[in-house]
Amino acid sequence: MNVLLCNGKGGTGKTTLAVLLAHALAESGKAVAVHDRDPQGTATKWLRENDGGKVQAYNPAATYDAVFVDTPPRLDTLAAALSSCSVAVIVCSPSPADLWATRDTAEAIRPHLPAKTRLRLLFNGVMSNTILARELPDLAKRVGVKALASSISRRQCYQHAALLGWQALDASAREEIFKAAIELLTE
Amino acid sequence: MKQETLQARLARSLDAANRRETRTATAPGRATRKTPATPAAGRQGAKLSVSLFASDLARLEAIRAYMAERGARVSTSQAVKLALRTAPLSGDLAAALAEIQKEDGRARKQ
Repeated sequence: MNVLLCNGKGGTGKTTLAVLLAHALAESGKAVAVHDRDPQGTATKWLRENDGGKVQAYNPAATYDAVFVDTPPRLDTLAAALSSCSVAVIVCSPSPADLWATRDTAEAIRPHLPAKTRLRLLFNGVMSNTILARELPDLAKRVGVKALASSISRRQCYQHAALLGWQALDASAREEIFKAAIELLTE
Repeated sequence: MKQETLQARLARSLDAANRRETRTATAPGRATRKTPATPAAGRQGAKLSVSLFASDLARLEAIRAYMAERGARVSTSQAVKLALRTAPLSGDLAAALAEIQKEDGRARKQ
């Protein structure tokens, strides 16, 4: 199963979530890889320096239970990446700038979306107990993409994970990632 | 304990998702829908029904992904043809056959 994470805007958390969702599956005993399509190579560096080898950098000759595809913040390169994906996830924070970019991303993706591929929205950087957090379903409607019920909250430990690996996540953060991954695969 | 449960659920979810994908990719209705009932004039073809293991299907998906990387969208049928046309006839075939027979478990004993 291939899961693509995208957004035409940078800084929405695509790389962080690609690596952490992959990690959740690796912790569950699955063979998982991250396919880093971003020329910045952040995911590759993350895996090489902090990961302990549980999640692998994608090798086309190998077979995996799941591959998470991290994409650059551009729309022109997404079509080729979409062709082999089961789910395309637009990662987005509940900020107006991210939502506008998300709407543009969804419009750019749709013509290239294979019939079997689901398009979903995953809110990242959500601050609990805020007005925006309560309005997530309405925001998703405005974008016109079905959102996952799970969302990822704003936590320092997600930033630390880039330096310290999966171990930086506390129990509640891991639970959040596990739940998002389960919903992504089952809904 | 709770995290262990979530890990187990996640593993089961992925297994189920991969099974669904495999079924969709190999469903007869889907495979034959776009295929003409008879080969077009000037083309020779034969419909074959074969059983593939999950590892074989994963390999086909890997071929498709590899080609997609290079900008070519490849159907399952084309991926099979690519595998056939690039497979060398070598001693590896005998070893692969032994592996297949072991996985199948229905092969006659020689």
